[in-house]
Amino acid sequence: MKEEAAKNNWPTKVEVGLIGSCTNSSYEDIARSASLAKQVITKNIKPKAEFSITPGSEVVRFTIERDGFIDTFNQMGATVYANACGPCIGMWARVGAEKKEKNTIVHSFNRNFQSRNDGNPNTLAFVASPELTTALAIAGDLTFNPITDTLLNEKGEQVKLDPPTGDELPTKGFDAEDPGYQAPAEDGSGVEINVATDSERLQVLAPFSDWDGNNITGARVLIKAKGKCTTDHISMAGQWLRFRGHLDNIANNTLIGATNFFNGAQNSVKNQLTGEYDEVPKVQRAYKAAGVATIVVGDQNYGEGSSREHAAMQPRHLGVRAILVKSFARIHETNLKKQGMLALTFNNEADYDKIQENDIINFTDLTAFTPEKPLHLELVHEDGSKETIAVNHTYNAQQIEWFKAGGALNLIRKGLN
Amino acid sequence: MSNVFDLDMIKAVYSRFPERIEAARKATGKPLTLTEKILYAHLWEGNASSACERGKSYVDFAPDRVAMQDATAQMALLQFMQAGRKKVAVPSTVHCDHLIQARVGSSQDLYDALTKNNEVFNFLSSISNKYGIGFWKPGAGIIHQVVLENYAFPGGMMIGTDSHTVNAGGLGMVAIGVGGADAMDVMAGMAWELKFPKLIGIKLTGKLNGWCSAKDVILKVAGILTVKGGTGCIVEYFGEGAQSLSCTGKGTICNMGAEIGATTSTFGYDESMERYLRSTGRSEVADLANGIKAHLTGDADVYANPEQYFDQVIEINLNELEPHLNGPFTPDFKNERGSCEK
Repeated sequence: MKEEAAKNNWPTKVEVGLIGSCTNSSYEDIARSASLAKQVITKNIKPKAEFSITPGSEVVRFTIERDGFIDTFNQMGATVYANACGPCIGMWARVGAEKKEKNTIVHSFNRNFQSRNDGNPNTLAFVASPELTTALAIAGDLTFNPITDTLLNEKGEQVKLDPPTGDELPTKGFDAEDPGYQAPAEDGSGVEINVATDSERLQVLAPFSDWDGNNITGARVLIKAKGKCTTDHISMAGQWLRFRGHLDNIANNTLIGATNFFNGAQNSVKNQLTGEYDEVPKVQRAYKAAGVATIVVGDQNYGEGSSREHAAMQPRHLGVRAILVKSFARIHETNLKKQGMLALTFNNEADYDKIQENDIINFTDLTAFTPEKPLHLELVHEDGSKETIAVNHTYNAQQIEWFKAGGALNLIRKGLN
Repeated sequence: MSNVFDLDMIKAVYSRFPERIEAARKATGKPLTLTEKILYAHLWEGNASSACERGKSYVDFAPDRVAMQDATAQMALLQFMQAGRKKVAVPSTVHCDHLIQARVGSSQDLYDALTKNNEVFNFLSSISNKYGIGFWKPGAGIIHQVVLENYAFPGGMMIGTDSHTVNAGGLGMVAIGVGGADAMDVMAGMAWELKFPKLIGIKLTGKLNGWCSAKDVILKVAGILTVKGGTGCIVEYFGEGAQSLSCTGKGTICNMGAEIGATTSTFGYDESMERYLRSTGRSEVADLANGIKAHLTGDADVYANPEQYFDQVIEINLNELEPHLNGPFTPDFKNERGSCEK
């Protein structure tokens, strides 16, 4: 470790040790870690790093408090955070993180990607067992090996930490005054769902409209995305996550991360109604208002990344009719189908190059939409020339019904009523 | 804590287990891993009529339950409102754990979160109340820990709208992380589709000692398989070493299976799980599981000759394990340190 740290120029001073989270906050984990914390007192050691515990549940927190472990941790100056994800998912307002200083932390969570825990890209997060995390926080030194190394205590003596011990389960049983559970109503039919009409974070959905039974004609290319277009490019995360319960608000990030093939820019596409370039969501809203159908064109593995359904719902909500790509990430393709969108792939991948910025696109045989039969699109280019391309789909009979109904949900609702 | 949630559902799952596994044996014509038993016992079609091809077949499943965290639950439940159902089709829960920021300490931080996210919590509370969904308030705990303490059961299958849903493998479940749309489908009574996974068998021998813990097992596995090595696979742990681990230790190992890209991980039912079920007030579930014990773990022949039944086999001797310190920036990078032994 010493060599690794020196070679990579990692600060060996451990600033913070964090234990707990859904990964490692069992009674056993806490009991064994507390057996080390206890030695801080019995062996007169001054702990060097900050230390925190994030209990996994109120039942665990109440039980470990009852059994004295929280007191033990408090004696080593620990902070107990709420029974929640907290630092493990980046919900950690760490003092000074905004200075972006290079520093080392150790935790017993599951993920240690850059910037994940405190938002500081220069925080080096190491993952270890809760026991080793506690020992390294006491030593304040990343290179400390508790099996072989000693620590200098307050009396000037070299002391060793005894290996951790602890019960697997509480001998007095688990307990909690209030585990925090709310049982649902037996009959919920009279229960009102609380969503304020002026909320910016929540919006009750309106059903998507069903297919009118006609070929889609006069469609415009909203964007021809170049290269990678993941769900993050389609529906950006970060600050937008606060709108994940409000479809219309989060739709304002639709495809803003995608690169426009025609000008190489992000979030800048041509509005064919005005001839001006503008932001993707704005242009799409203008098309929708004018009743102009649109198509999104994409490259390979379109929609890879997370399974979040927003990436399919947002274009649908804004009025995009079809996504035509070289290939799809499978989960995103399914999500598009569920939302009543047309998910299509070029029969000949090279046809991607035939799509021009000012094209008008007409479906010629959507009225005969059938499993395992390609569809055809007529491209009307700006110079008046026309060509027809074949596009494939993977819709089965059931999924075609989803499309016709305007989405799987509409069909479910019909089936029940 | 004497209240066991959804005991009737668990009874129903267990009562059809023997017949379903019998059908799976016939369809596959071979001894079965635990993973296959659980998957075949949860086919949407009921009894298996043919063998599923690992890594190839897309199969419809009927999960026993759904869990959602407060960030992903919002859109899943907004969509569910559109489904026109009076209640969710399978037992489901919502857990408020993602919107609380750690700043100064639990009381103040919880208070701040309640103020800031009040309307989201109110919405989730009211919609849960309406549609028969169990609601865990802010401060009740982290979804995966609460699921392990209250809902997970050996041989069960669940989906959850968070990648670490896999934590419930510690209690012998097949628990898989999904997107909100998938959760919505299952709550609305539809099938859930999954490409039948490939299987990785990890045989654990020996026993943890000294400074080593369950965390070191998964950090070791991450070093071997890397962050992509488990993609499209379910990891099944077995052997005397597996049985020597606590149930919550197994949970830790399954939890971080997400970090190797695995679909999920699981362990066969054993005494550690029985102890945990009894300790968390679920003796009824332990008694039920004891009644069909043989179905809740892999067949003896599978564990005796794992190479014949798994797509990949790894063996780890817990006696020789070292305390790991992986990182930075990726959980699969192991730094060399000393061994556990003094």
